[in-house]
Amino acid sequence: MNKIIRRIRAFCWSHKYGLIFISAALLLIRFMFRLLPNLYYVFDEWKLLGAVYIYGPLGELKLLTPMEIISGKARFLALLLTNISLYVAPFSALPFAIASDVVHLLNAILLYLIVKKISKSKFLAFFSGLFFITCSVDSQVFTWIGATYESLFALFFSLLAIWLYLIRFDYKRPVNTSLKVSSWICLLLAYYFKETSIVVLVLFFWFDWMYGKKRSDKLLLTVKNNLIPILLFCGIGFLRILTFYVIHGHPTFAQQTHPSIARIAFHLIYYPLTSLAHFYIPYDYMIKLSIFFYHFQYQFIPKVFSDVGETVLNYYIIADYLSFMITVVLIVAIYFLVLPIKKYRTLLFFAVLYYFLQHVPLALYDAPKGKAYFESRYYYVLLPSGAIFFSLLLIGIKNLMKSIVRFEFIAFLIICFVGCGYIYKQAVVMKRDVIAGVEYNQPMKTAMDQFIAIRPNLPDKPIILLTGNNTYFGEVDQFIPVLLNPGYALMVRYYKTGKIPGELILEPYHFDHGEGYRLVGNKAYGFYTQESHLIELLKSNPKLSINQVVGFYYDGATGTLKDDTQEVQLFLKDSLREY
Amino acid sequence: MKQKQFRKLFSFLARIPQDIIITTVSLFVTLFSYWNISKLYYLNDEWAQLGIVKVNGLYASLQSFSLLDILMGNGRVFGTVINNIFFRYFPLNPWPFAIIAFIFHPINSLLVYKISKKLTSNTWISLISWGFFLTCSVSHQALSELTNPVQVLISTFFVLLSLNIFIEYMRTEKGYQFIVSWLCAYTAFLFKDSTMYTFILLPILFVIFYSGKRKLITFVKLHICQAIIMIVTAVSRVIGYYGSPGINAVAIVKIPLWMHFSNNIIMYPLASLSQFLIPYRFMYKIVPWFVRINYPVTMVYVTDPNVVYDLMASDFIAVILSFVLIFLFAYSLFRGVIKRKTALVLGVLYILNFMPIAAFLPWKNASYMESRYLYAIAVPASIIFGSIFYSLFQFIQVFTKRKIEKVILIICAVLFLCLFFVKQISIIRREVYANVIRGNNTKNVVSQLTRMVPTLPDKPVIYIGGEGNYGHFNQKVPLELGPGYVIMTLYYDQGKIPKSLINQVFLETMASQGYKESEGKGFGYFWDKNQLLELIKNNTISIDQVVALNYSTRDSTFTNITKSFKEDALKQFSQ
Repeated sequence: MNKIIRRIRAFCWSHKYGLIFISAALLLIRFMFRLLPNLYYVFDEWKLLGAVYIYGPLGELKLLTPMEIISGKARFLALLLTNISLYVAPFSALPFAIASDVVHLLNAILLYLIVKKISKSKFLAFFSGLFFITCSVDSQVFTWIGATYESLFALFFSLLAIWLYLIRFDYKRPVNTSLKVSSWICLLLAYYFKETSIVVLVLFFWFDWMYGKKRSDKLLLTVKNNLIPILLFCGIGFLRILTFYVIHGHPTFAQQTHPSIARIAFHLIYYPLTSLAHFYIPYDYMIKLSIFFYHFQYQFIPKVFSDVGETVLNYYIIADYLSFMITVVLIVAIYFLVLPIKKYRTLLFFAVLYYFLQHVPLALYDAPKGKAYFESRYYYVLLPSGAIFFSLLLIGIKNLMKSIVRFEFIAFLIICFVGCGYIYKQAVVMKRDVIAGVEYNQPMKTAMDQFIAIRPNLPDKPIILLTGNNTYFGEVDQFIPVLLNPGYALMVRYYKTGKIPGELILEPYHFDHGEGYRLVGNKAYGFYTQESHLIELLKSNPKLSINQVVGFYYDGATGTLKDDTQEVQLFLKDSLREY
Repeated sequence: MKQKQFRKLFSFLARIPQDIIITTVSLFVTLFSYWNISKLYYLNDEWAQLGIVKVNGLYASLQSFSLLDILMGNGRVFGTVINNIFFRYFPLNPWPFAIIAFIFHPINSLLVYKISKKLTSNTWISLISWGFFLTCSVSHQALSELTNPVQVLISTFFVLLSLNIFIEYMRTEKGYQFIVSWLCAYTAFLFKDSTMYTFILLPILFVIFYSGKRKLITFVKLHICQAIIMIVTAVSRVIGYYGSPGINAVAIVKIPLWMHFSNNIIMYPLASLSQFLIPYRFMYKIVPWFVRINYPVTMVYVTDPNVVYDLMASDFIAVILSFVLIFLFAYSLFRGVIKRKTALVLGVLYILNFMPIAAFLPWKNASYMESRYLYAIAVPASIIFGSIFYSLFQFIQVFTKRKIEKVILIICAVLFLCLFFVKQISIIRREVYANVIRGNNTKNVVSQLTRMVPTLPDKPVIYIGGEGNYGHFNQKVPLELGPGYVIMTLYYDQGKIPKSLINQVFLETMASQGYKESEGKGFGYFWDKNQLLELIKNNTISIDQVVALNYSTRDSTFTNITKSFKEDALKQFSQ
C-alpha cells in the first residue's frame, strides 16, 4: 500500500505542472460551462431528431450514399454521434454538455502536450492551454448543440494526430511506424468529423522537415513518409469534388455575388490578416470599439446614414478595419518580441503555419462572416494557434520587462498576474455567452415542454391551431418563441404518439413558415395559426371533422400555454353552421 | 573612330554638372505636365481674394493683424503679399502663378534629389525619389489651383533649403549655415504657417546627426532660444485655432479635440502613405470591388454607398496598402539599403509634416486629403518609395547570375519606373485639363457678362434667370461661388459697388441672393424673380436699378431681358 502511495506521490510530483494545469482547467470549465445542460434544440436539431425517431440512431445517415459518406460530405462521424445522443436522451442537452466539458478539456491537455513537446516550456504550455480553455470567440461550439460534436472531435483528433506524429521522432522503429500510422488514422477520423481537418497533413510534412534526419533528399523523403495519406486524401478529395461540385452543385454565396476565384484568392490573404485580433478581443468589445472609432473618425456621417445603415457599417466594415489594424499591431509585436527568442522559434513557426493552414478552408468554402467576425464555431479549430501566440507574447513581454526592471522574478510575477487576469476575463465573457445562450433557449424549452404536459396525446389525423397574444422573431404568425416553424417542432414532439406521418417529418413538412394540412396513407397532420384559414380548410374538405382540431393558446406575457381545444371547436362549429 | 567620338560625347555629358541636368529635365517635365495651368482661370478663392485686393490694396487680408501677429505667422505675410501683387497688377491672369509653379517645382525637385542623396548616399535612390516627387500626381493641386503655388511651393522651397543647409551644417558645423537654415525655416513659416513643424524638425535632426561630445549642452546652447520662440509661436497658433468658436460649432459628436489630434496624427499618415502611389480615381475603382467581395450584405442597408466607398472603405484599403509599404520600407532598412538614422529622419519628417494637418483638420470629408496638403509631405514619401523600389530591385537582383539577366532586370526596372512616371504625368495633365475646363466655363460667363453689360446703373441689382442648377440648387450660372460676389468684383472699378460689401464677402456662397446698401451705394443679386419683385413693390429697390439676364444652359449664353423684365414687372404691379 505504501509503495502505491509512494508511486502516486512520485508521479504527482514529477507531473506537478501538468496536474496544476488540469486542476485549473477543470475549475475554469466548471466555472464557465455549469449551465450548459440547460440548453435546448434550436433549429437543425429538430430535423435530426425527427430522422432519429424514424430511422433509429443512424438517422439521416441512412439517406446518404456511400460515396457521400466516404467523401466526408456528411461529416458522418459527427452526425452519428449527434444521432446517438438524440436517440439516447431526446430533448436533453446533457450529452452535449458532457462532451463539451470532457473533450474541450482533452483538447486543452493535447495542446499543452504539443506546446511542451515543441518548446520544452511548461510556462508556454500552461498559458496556451488555459487560454485555449477560456477564449470566448468560439462560444457557439458550446452554446449551439448542432455545432458541438463536429468542432470538438475534429480538433481532438487533429491535435491527437499532431501529438502522435510529433512524439514518433522520439522512438525508433517499429514504435515510430505505429505512431505514424496511428496519427494518420486520427487524421482520417478528424476528417470525418470535419473535412477542414485535412490541412493538418501539411503539418506532418513540416514536422518531417524539422525533426527528420538531415539528408540531401529531405524534401522527397517528407513526401515519401506520408505517401499513403496523400494518396488516400487525394482519392477522398476527388470524390468530394465529384459529389460537392459536379453532382450536387454548390451555389455558394460567392458565386451569387461575384466570381469566386478572385474572392477566394483575396480572402486567402485577407482573412488571416483580420482574424488574429478576434481571438483576443471579444465580439461585443470590438463592436463597442468600432462604434467609438466610427464617431471619432467619421463624425459627420451620422447625418448621412440611417440607424440601420450606421449599425451595419459598424458591425461590418469598421469592425473589420479595426481588426486588421489590431492584427497588424499583434504581428509587429510578435515580430519584435517573440521572433528574436531563438528557442521558441519552432513553436512560433508551427503556430503561424497552423494559423494560415486553418484559414485555407475558410477562404475556399467562402465561409460567411457573421458581421466582421466569422461564425463563432469556425474559430475553434483556429484557436490553438491563437493560444500559442498568446503565450508567446506573454514570454516576449516578460523578456522586455526583464530588460527594463532587471529582476526576472518580478517580471515573471507581473506577467503571470496579467496573463491569469486576462484569462479570467475571457472566462467571464465565455460564461456570459453561455448564460446568454441558455437564456435564449429557455423560452423555447419552456414553451415546447408545456405542449406535452397539458396535452400528452393528439386525436387521429390531428390539426393543430396555435394562436397567441404575442409574436416572435419578426414573424406575424410565430406565436411561440421557437426559431423554426412550430408546426414542424410539434410534429417531432408528438411523433411518439403514433399519430404523425413519418414521411412529413422527413420531407420536412412545415419546417419553414407556413400552414397546411396533408394526408399521407392513413395518417395526416395539419398546422394552422389563423382561424380563418382553418375554417377555409374545413369548408373545402367536408370529410374533415372538427374533432380532429386541437387548439393551443400561448400567453406571451406569462409564458404559459393553454389548451383551448373546446373553445376552438365551438367557434368552428358556429362558423361552419353559418356556412 | 566612331567609338572614340561616342566616348567623347559621353565625357562631354559627364562634365555637365549633375544639378543642371536634373534641373533642366525637371523643368521640361514640369512644363510638359503642368503647361495647361497657364490657361487656368479664377475659380473660387481667387475671386474672393481679387475682390479684397481691389478694395484694400496690396496689404489686403493683413490689415487686421498687428506686427506681432504677423511675425507669429498670422496672415502668411509673404505668401499673401506676393499673391496680392499678382491679383493687383495682373488681374484675371494665370501667368504669374504659372511662372512661380514652373520655377519652383523643378527647383524643389532638385532639392529633393539633393536631400535624398545626402540622407541615403545613393544616387539611384535619389534619382528615383526625384522622379517620384517630380511626377507625383496626388499633390497636383499645389500647382493646378492658382492660389496655391505661391504659398505651397515657395514655403516648401524654403523648408527644403533649410533642411539641405542644416544637413550640410551637421557635416561641416559652420555656424552661418545653422543660422541660414533657421532663417529659411522661419521664412517658410511666413509663407505658410503649416510649415511650423520645421521648428521641431531641425532640433530633432540635430539630435539624430550630432556625434560630437557633450550632446545635451550643445543642443541646449544652440537651440534653446529659437526653439522656445518658435514653439511658443506654434502653440499659440494652435490654441488660438482651437479656441475659436468655428471649429467647435461644426462638430456633431463632441469629442475633445486633443483626442482628434492623437487619432489623426496616427491615422492620417497611415492612410496617406499608399495614397501617394494610387491616384484617387483608381482607388475609387477598386473600392466597390473590395466592398462587394467582403461585405455584400452591408450595402443593402446603406442608402448612399458612395459615402462608404469614398471614406471608410478607401481608408481601409489605403491602410492595408500602407502597411505593406511600411513592411517593405522596414525590409529596405534591414537589408541595409538605407541607414537607421536616415530611416528615422524620413519617418520623423513624414509624421511631422502631418502635425499641422492633424491639428487644423480634425476630420476629413473624404479618404484623400486636399491635394495641396500633400505637396510637402511628398518629399519624405518620395525618398521612402525610392528606398523601397531600390531594395526590391536589389532583392530581385540576387536571383540574377549572368550578366545578360542583370541587364534585362535593369531595363525592366527602368521601363517600369518610366511607365509609372508617364502614367503619373498623364494623370496630372488630365487633372489640370479638368481645371482648365472648369475655368473656361467661368471665363465664358465673365466675358459674356462684361460684353453684354459694359456699365452698371447706380445701385445695381442683377437678376439672372435660367433653368440651370450648377453644382447647387438655383445656381443659375456655371460659377463656383456666388455670382453676386463675382459681379461685384468684376465691376468694382466702375465705382458703383460699396467697399464694405466686398469686405463682408456679401453674396459669396453659391446661390445666395439679396440686396444691401452702404456708403451711399448699393448692390443686389437675385435668381428668384418673385423676391426681387417684392422688394421693388416695397420700394426698397427701384425698377431702374435692375439689370435682368437669362442664362441658357443649352447654348451657354446670356440674353439681356431687362426690357421684358421691366414690362412684366409694371404689368404685374398695375394688376
